[in-house]
Amino acid sequence: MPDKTRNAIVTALRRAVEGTPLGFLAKVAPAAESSSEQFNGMLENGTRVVFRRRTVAVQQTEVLVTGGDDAGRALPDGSYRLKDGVPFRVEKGRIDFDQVSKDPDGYEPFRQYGAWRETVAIDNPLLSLPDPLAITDVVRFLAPDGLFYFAVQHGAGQPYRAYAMKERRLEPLADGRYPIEKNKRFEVVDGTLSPKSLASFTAAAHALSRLPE
Amino acid sequence: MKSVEWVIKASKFCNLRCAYCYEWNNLSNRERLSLAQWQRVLEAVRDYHLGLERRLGTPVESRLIWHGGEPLTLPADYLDQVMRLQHETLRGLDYRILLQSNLFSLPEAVIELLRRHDIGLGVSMDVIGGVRVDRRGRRTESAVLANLDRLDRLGISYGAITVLAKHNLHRLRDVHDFWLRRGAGFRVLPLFEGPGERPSGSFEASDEELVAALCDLFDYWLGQGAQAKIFPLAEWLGNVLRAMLGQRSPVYDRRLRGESVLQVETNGDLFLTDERGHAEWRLGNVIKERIDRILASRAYSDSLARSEAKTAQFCHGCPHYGFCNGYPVHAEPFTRWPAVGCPVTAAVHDHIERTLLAAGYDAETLAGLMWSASGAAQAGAQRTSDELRRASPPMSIAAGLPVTGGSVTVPVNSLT
Repeated sequence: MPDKTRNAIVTALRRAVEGTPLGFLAKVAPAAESSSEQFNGMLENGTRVVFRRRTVAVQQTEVLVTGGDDAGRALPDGSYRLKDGVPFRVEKGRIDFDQVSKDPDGYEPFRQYGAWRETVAIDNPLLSLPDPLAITDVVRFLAPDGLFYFAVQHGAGQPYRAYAMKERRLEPLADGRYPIEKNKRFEVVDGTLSPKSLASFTAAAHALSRLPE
Repeated sequence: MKSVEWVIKASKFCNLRCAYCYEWNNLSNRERLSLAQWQRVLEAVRDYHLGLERRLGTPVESRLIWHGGEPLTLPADYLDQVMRLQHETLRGLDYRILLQSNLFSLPEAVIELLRRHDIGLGVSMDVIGGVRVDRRGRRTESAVLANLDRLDRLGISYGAITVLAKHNLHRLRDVHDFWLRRGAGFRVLPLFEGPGERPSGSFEASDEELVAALCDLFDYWLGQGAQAKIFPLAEWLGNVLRAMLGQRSPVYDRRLRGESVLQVETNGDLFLTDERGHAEWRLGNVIKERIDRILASRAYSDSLARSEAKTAQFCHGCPHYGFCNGYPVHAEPFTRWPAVGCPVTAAVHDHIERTLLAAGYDAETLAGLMWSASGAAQAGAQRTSDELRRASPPMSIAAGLPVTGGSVTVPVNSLT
């Protein structure tokens, strides 16, 4: 089809998904033709893994083992379950989103992603926030206490609000101190990450998501 | 935002005698809503608006659509008085006033009213002549065209409705070009059922003919870059795109989300648009009863059940349901129904999907185009077609493409 038809479809697509979860997912579009994000997790058998999303024209999510003799290798094809119970399947080295969509125990948002089978490894807890379209930055990691902590910024220059993920939803953290690693903690004041905690929070997220050399 | 449309028949009197008009038997009737009756109608609009906002917990927009008959045959001072009444009664609410006209006559005083009261104008014109004639059977297109030119010169924008029937079935491309040249969006409206007395027989088209015409219009429209705003094709294309991406959207559900379109007759009788003309399905009378009483009535409760039965019969099992909101089966009182699905809409949806797939726009290609769309939006500028092609090469977008090069760019809003 000629360019003007393609442009018409692009415009129609943008309008069609406006205000839907797909509209939100479009916001994590790459600034260039490739992009990545990654975060750490733990399987129910204790294996630590890193989920790495890569983007070219579409996205693909790989799962790489971070510890032991298999460090750095892709998780073999097969069915797995995260420590918090979320099932997923690896096929040909990548998250199998067709399986996720069909899984009757899967989360409803999966069904909404459809063609975005390669978009997210697990249903995106950010969609549980009141205005996900306004999110400008997110930092997250799995802490030693078994909780995923999120720092979410709504608008450039705004403070980062702190959340913990429970039942695939983000719940605001009460003011107080929370674990990062061994002796490190971050502090929440008035529901937001204190400025001096932000650096250590971000550093922990990077460190925990680092792939083996 | 949730919108509620009130199609208000201020008067059935009309200066035209379009052969297919469903109000054919009332076109000489000069009876009109009095100011006192308008007051009751507007109170119903206001009370329903406020009640729905409370119930849904979200803002509502009420749209008052002057319909007829021909509203512009009403005296200008009457129009002005009712417009003022509308503003007074609905003050503080989110509302719009729209007026559907054949534009055969456009007095200067009316032009001034359109501007003063911020009235959105819809023009009914089929572009292809032969059906929309005056009381002496003379064609009206040249007079309407002259008035469209006047509107253009005055910078007054308008939308259009073109009734789709035998006379323009094979000329929809010309209709498209006509409205595109004038910069007006238009709605293609298949011919309604109506009284047997009207001389519409030679203009009625079969469902198959309507489907073929709309499919051809879709192909032409898309090939032209979808520059013209065409309802419902733009909406149906969106439905198909969401379906291919697996993104469902809310469906038409009067019980859950309130009304979408209500019609008020000149005597105050209230109907759903697809039940107009059936006295036994009257919901109530907004001049004689308060809207809350109507909503609590057996007649209203029965109408909810009828709507739900209709949805169950024609939408459940339709592959497009949930992406299409299901409203098309409730939009007009079609009488010819296939066993499953609506006669025209579903078939055109099928065609749109087939067309996209045949051109290589499968789900994954569309996902790739989403990047282009969002990338262009974020950059705040239109990408050139070459850039779009590089970002989403046709038919080559598949899972498993290796990351090109060694550098990996992380967007500002990436998740660490």
